[in-house]
Amino acid sequence: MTDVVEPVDAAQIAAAMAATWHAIHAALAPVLGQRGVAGLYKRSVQLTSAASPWLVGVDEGDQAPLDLAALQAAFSQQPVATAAASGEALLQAFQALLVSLVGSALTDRLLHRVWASEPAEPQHLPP
Amino acid sequence: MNSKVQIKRLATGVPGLDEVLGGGLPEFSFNLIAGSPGTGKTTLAHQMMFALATPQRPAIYFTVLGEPPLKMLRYQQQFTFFDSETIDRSVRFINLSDDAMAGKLDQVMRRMASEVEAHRPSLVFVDSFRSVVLTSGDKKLAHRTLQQFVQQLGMLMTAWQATTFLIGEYFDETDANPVFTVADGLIWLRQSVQRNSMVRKMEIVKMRGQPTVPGLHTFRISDAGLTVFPPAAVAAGGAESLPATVTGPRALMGVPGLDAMLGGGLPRGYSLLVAGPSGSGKSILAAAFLAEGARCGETGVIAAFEQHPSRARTPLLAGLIAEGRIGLVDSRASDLSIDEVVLLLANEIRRLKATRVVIDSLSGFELALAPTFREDFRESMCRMVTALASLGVSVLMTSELEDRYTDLRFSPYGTAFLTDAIIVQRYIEVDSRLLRVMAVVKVRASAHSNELRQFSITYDGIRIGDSLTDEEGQLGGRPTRKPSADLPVPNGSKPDHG
Repeated sequence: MTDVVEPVDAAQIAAAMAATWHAIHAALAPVLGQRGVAGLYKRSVQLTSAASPWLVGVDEGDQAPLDLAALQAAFSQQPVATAAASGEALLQAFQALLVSLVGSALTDRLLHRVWASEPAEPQHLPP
Repeated sequence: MNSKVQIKRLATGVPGLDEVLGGGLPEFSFNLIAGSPGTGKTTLAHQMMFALATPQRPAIYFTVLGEPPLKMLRYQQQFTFFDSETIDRSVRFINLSDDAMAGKLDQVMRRMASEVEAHRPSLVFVDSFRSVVLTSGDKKLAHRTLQQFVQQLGMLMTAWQATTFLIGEYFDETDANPVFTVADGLIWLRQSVQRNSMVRKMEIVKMRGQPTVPGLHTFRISDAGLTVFPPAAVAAGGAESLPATVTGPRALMGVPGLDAMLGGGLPRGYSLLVAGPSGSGKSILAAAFLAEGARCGETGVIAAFEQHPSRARTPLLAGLIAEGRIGLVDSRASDLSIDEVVLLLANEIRRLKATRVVIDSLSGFELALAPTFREDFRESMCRMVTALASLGVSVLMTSELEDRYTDLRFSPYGTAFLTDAIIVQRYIEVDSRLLRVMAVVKVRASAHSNELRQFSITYDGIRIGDSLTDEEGQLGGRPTRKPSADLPVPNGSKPDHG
C-alpha cells in the first residue's frame, strides 16, 4: 500500500502516515464531509488496534477535521518495523472498509490522487 | 430574422420522461424534484446526471444533510447508469454538511457559489434541499429566509448557465412554499399502496414553456433506474396517420370458414373481441390468428397474462415465439399499469414491425393490473384499444365469459362497444352432450354472417361445421328440435351432432 522506501526511523514513518491521512482527508472530505471521513478513520484505527494495541486512543476526540497529532506521536514511538507494518495495516484496513461500502471502482476513483501523489522518498514528506 | 431565444431541451436519459415533460428538459431551468421518502427522487436525479453529464457539460451533486453520501454512493452504484469512471471528470460530488451544520444559509450559499465558480458546472443538483432549510433552526426565520435563499440560488445558477435540480422531501404540495413559485419545473413523485401492491406515480406539476402531459404517470424502478410510462396514446406515438397496412387486404383468421363468416377476414386495423366460456377455444382461435399471420409472412405480438402461459400455448405458437416471429409480452407482475402494458406492446410491435396483436386474456390482464387501476379498467381498455389502433395493428382480445344462458353477453367489462368486431363462442347441450357453437356478432362497417355455427376442436385446430338448422333456442343453452316433419331422420334415429 505505502510506497515509502526504506525509512530510516519511525518518525519518518509517522510523518508519512500523517501526510497520507491528510491527503485522504483532502480527497474524501469534499465528497463525504469531514464527519464522514472521521468515521472511516476511527473505524480503521479500531480495526487495526486489535493487532496493534498501542494505536488505541489515537482517534479520540471529534476528528472532524482529522487530528493526526496523536497518531503521529504513537507511530514515532514504535520500532521501525512495527511502525511500518502497522502503518500499512491501517491503510489497508481503511481501503478495505471503503471498498466494502462503495466498491473498488469508486474507491479507486476517489483515492486515485492520494496514491498517485504519495511520495516515493521519505525526505519529500511534509513536516 | 427570429430574435427570440431558442430554449434548448435536454434529453434526460430516463425512458418516457422526455415525453411527459413535453420534449425534454429546458436548459438552464431551475427545477424541483419533490416527493416523500422512498419515492425515487435521488435515483431520478442520479440517473439524469449520469445521462447528461459530459466533460464539456459537467455536473456537481451537492449533498447536504439528507442521506449520508457514503450510503447514497453505496446504493446508487447498484444502478447500471452509475459510472464510477465519470467521477471527478464529468461528475463531482460535494458534501455541504459541515457548512450546513453551522446553521447558516449564507455560508451554505457562499460555499455553493465558490464551488460553482471553481468547477463551472452545467448541471447542479442539491440533495436534499429541504435539509438546507431545516438547518436554520428557527422555522419562522427559515420560511422568511428561504425565499431569499432560493432566489439567490436561482439567480446564481441561471447566471452561471447551470440547469439546476433541488431535491426535496415535501409531504404536502398545498404547502405555500416559495420554492414552488420560484422553480421553473416541479416534478412530484408519489407512491400509492393498495392491498399488497405499490404503484409509483410521477406528476409534472409545472414546467415553464413546455407542453407537458398532464396527470399522473406510472413509473417503475429497476436495475436500470426509472422508466416512466407515458399515457398509452403518447407511448403509441399519438394520433399519427395510420400506417399503410390498415388499408391492405383483410387479415385471414387461420380457421377455415371463419373468414367467410367475417365477410372475408378481419379488416386491417380492427380490434376483435373473442368472448366465450372457459375451454371454448378462445386461445386456440387466437393462436390460429397469429400462426396464419406468420404463414403469410407477417409478424405478431402476444401478450399473455396467465399464471402458466407455456401450458396454454399451442406447440405451433410456442415454435413461432422461439423463432422470434411472434413477440411475447409475458408479465406476471401483479402491479402493472395499462400504460406500462401498452408501452411493452408498442415496443414489441415496433421492434418486429408486427401487424397482428393478441391479448390473451382480458381476464388475466385485469388480474395483472395493480388494484388501483382495476377500478377504471373500462377506461384503461379504451385507451389501450385506441393506442393499438393508432399503431395500425389488427388486435384480437379474448374474454372469458360465464355462460348464463339467460342473456347474450360479450364482455364482463362492458367493453364490447370498444371493439370493431365480436365473435362469441358458447356451449349448448344436445343429446346430453356439450357442443360448441360460434357466431360473428359484429364486424363494423362490413357485411358478415349471422349464422350460429357448430365447431369442434381437433388436433389440427378449430373446425367449423354447419349450422344446427334443425335446433332452435341454442342461445338458451338447451336447444330443442324444431317441430318439422320433413327433417330426414334415417332409421328413426336422431342425427349425430358430434
